[in-house]
Amino acid sequence: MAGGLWWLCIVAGIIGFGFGGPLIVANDAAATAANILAKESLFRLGFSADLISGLSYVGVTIFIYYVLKPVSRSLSLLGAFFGLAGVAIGGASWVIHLAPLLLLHGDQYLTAFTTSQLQAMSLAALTLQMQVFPIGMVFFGIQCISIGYLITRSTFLPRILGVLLAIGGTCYLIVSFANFLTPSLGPRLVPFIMPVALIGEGSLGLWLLVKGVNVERWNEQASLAR
Amino acid sequence: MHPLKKAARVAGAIYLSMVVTGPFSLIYVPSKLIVRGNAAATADNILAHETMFRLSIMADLVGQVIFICLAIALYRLLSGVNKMWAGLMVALVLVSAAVGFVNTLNDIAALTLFRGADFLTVFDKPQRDALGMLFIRLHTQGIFIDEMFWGLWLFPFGLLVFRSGFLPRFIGVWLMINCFGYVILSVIALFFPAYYGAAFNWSQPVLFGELAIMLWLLIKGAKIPVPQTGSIAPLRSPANA
Repeated sequence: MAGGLWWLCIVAGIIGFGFGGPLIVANDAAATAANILAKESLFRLGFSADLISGLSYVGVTIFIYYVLKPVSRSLSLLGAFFGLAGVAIGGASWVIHLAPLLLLHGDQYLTAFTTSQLQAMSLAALTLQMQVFPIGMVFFGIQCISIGYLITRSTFLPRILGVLLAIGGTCYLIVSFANFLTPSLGPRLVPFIMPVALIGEGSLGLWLLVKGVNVERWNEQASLAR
Repeated sequence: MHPLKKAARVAGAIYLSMVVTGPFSLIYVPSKLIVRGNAAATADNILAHETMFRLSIMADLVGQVIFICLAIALYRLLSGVNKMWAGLMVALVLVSAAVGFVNTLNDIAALTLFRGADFLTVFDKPQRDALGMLFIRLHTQGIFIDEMFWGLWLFPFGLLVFRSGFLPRFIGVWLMINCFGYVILSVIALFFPAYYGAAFNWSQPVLFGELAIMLWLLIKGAKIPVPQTGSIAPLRSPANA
């Protein structure tokens, strides 16, 4: 179940980027605005995929917490809290994501601004919204590292999954901080590092979905923990 | 009082306080102050009744805190039924409250723009009003998004009530239906805004599930399962919590 949800989260996240991303033309507010208005349903789909990705991650976080609780309750809880904080930070960006639609639909009260001003504001909102992602990523990164560590210490999941996940989490941290500190370098790292991170999360999600945990050993470790 | 009954009463009382603060900031104040599509009139209203507007922001924030307390109280009541579902319930509430908290910032931004501090004089008044109105609208959109969570947390809640054995099953089912009610409302608000009003009216009977559980917890509390007292052991009494 956790695995299924995790895949839902990843797929929805990719769809969110895949649908929403191409509509944005960097530094060209007018073209971006035209794109969004022409493909409004695509834009809304991108938004809802974003939302679903966040929602399913709340479920993922809780399920993973319970799966790994027998290994270390406090560390598992720490990871879960980082995950929830990450989702909440992402949640702050959901409203900003909808701002362009309000701005571009040109309600009566907005006539105080010229069209190009409204377009500039909506691109600013989108740019701001994109910046939230790496901020939340710091929290997800720490969560992934703690989960990865717990998996390597567990007896009921293969260690390699934990190692991959911890590497993925470290990648998130690197990308995020590269984004903040050297905005020119950050985006160039993404194509190299994101696949590594996805391998970590994807393989764990797939394993949980297909194989699940070794129930016998899970019970064993759970009873030891008590 | 039996600890289970006490936990139920506490949860019911917290629920009641939320039912009191919620409609004030969600329905009463917006209906008084916001004039749809008219930024200047909205700005005038809000400046004329600034205290009321600030109170509604306050009520919004207090409401989120109460929501968190409610989730914890319900966790205490229901975690004995199934810890994982109870945990999921709390997690959804926590994220919802965080989103709600950030969302009040939109109202505060609107107020700042309407008041027009010195640094804002680079914009003329109609522009400031329009920007303020934009933030008011964003706040409404934020509520629609949060509605998704108001629905989702009810699913684990309803499931736990259904399985509890000390609360009526039909209310559990009602809560789970209530969950879909909110989720559907949220989807309609975000995708088919034109139908929101009608959908909201139609969904009222579904949304009363929360009112039902609130009243039940407050008035009846929990039925104490006398024969198998041992089975409720996971519930900690306040003394050893």
